[in-house]
Amino acid sequence: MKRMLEKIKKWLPSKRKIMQLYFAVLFNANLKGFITGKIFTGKTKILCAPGINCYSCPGAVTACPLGSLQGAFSAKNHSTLYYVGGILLLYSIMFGRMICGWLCPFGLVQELVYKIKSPKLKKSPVTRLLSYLKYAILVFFVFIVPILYSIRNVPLPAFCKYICPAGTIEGGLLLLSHNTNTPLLSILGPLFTWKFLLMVSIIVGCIFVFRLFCRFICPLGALYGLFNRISVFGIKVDNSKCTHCGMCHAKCKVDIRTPGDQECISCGECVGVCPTKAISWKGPKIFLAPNEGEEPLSDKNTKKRLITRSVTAFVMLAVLIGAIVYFWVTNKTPLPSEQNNPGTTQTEPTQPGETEPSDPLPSFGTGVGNLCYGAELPIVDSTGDTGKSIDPTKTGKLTIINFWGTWCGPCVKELPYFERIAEEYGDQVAVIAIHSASVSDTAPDYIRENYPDSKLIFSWETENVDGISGPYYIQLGGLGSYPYTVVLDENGVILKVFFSSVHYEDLKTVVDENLK
Amino acid sequence: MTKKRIHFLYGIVLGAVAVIAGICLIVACVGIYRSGDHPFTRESVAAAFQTIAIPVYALLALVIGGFILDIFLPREKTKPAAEKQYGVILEKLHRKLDLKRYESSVRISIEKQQKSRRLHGYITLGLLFVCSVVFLTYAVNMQNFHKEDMNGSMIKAMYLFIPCLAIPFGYGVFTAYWGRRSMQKEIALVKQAIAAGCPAPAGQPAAPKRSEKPAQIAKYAILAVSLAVLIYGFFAGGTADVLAKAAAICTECVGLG
Repeated sequence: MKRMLEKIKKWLPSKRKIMQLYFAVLFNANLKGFITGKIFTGKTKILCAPGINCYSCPGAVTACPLGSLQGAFSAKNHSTLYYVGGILLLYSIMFGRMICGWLCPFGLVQELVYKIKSPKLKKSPVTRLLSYLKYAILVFFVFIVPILYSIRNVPLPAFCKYICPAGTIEGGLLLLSHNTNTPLLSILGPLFTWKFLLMVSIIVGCIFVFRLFCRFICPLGALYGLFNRISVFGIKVDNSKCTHCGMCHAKCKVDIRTPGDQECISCGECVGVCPTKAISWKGPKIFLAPNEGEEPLSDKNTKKRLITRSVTAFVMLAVLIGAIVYFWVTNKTPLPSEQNNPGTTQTEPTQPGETEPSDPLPSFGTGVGNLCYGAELPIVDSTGDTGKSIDPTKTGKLTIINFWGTWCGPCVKELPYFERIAEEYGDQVAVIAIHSASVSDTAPDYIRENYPDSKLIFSWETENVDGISGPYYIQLGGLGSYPYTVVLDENGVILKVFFSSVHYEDLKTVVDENLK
Repeated sequence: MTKKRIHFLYGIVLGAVAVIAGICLIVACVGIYRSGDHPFTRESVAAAFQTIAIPVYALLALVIGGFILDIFLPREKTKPAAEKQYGVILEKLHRKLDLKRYESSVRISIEKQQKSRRLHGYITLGLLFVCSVVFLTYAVNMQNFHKEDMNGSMIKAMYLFIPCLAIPFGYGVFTAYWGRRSMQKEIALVKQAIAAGCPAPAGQPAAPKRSEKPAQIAKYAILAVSLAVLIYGFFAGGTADVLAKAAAICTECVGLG
């Protein structure tokens, strides 16, 4: 019996693993999102998760700190940078890289992959030097490139776009594997191929190298590492007790010089192996047991601590269950079983011969060949609402509806193509650029700066359905991704749908084909 | 066959299969992309991945097999050997002798080793500095980052970024291994000097104890600043942009561009 219990104990996860799993579930508590394939759009996404957790993951209920930081550089409202910077600084000074070891969901993924039995690459001077790579990535991909492009009014989260494997797994693969998002498959190209290759390489690498991404690539870890020595929680070394025996180095799987330095993820494995008990946890006394050599707690305080721990564990469990239930109930997206016709969004043009002869008039819908839903949308300019309105289905000419946002890099990049079409085709084509519902107050400034005498018809959605998208975007079959473009004929019938960026040539081809 | 050998062989097989499966996956992806079968459909992607089913299934079987192996033939746990920290060993040894009062060829050899390590260290830092300046000069020039062709601009930047990292890195690796060898040599020389009767230092000055006060002040100052900045940002409407970005599918983050 005793032996069996010991065996079971061996298989039980450590405290750290439980915490990692807890936070991975908590940050992705929108379980309904995994079933519906839709991302969560509620207000909790104003909070940044401390670890790498892509906000395009269907389960994510918080924002990604790195994505938010890169986005903040190009935000029209400078307070965004203060807000995100403040959050990151607070996390850094409170926990340092303890976040990497205890709270980061992607760290957990890497550790689980490392559990696969295989030959492991030991740390060496090469890995130690490679650990500085993440600082170069932080400077170039998180600061220099996003700032340079933000000066040109183009948001570009370079790290997310070109490197982040968490985004490829959590956002890309989980979203694309769902039937609802099948149209998104049609827009995959070289960028996704590159990111997929990088993700596969990193995951395969993690089988052989402990936390390959955290140690060598992760800019968030690099940022937190700068504050590791002075953070409130973490690991500390009592130099007067240290005999430099090297046991901590031998036990540690990352490239530390001393426990608690910028590379230390505060996993705490060195605390147990130190023969002189020079390594200990740091933090306010109420959270920690007394370190070796410190005055032990009295019986009364031990009891108090036990109660505090039990209450904390209970509260944490209650928070997790509460969060899962809350996000399940508040998420109004219907489950596939509740939908009448799931995953049937049409993207390819219907051939004229394919139309049902018994039904010559197209019905309202979101697919190609359907009659587009109409709406009275306000026309705005650089001063804001002009008091005029437009119904995109009643322009009487070929109409292009583009849903965009000043916060969206690809949207801002492709807007000049729409303007060129509007200028070239003049009265033959109406091009309506509809700004997303959220942060639309920044749109007039943007229009004034970049499109003062444009032929584009600017509009915005005044109502906010799910934090960002307006009702018209939802009604026209938007999947939650921006930019989104719909082309209508003069009768308001949908001719083409673009679920992502378009090039000038694509637009011109569609317009030329339909003007003949 | 011993347990250790079985685990070793299993590890080799698993490692090889993992790498093969990874390569197959990458080849399949490149194949899908290069097939020109655009726009991609669920069916075409599934068909391409069917060709790599065998290595992927083999990998999964091996992973499961590894856990079963661990249950029936548990690995013997070995206590990790303490890592040799040559720098610390040298520091301890140097406390036992006063080289300045030791006139011998050994002293010259010790100083030679120290000088060579310092020189390589300076060269590495110099290379890092030069490469950083070269790259930053390129990176902060807005002309090099085109609004129309972001991907092309980034690829061009990588042509400079990678060598600028690789050069100091390569020299750094050389310096690290050279330093290790040099320290091993110096340890032997110092031991030789001690054995030959090198005089011990007259009095060991006590190492100055570093005060924790500045770190504590910095900690609480940063904490206060972060809270102040966060609260200001929150009440000045900084959350709207964060929500806007997080509530839509970030096609860039996902890699859809």
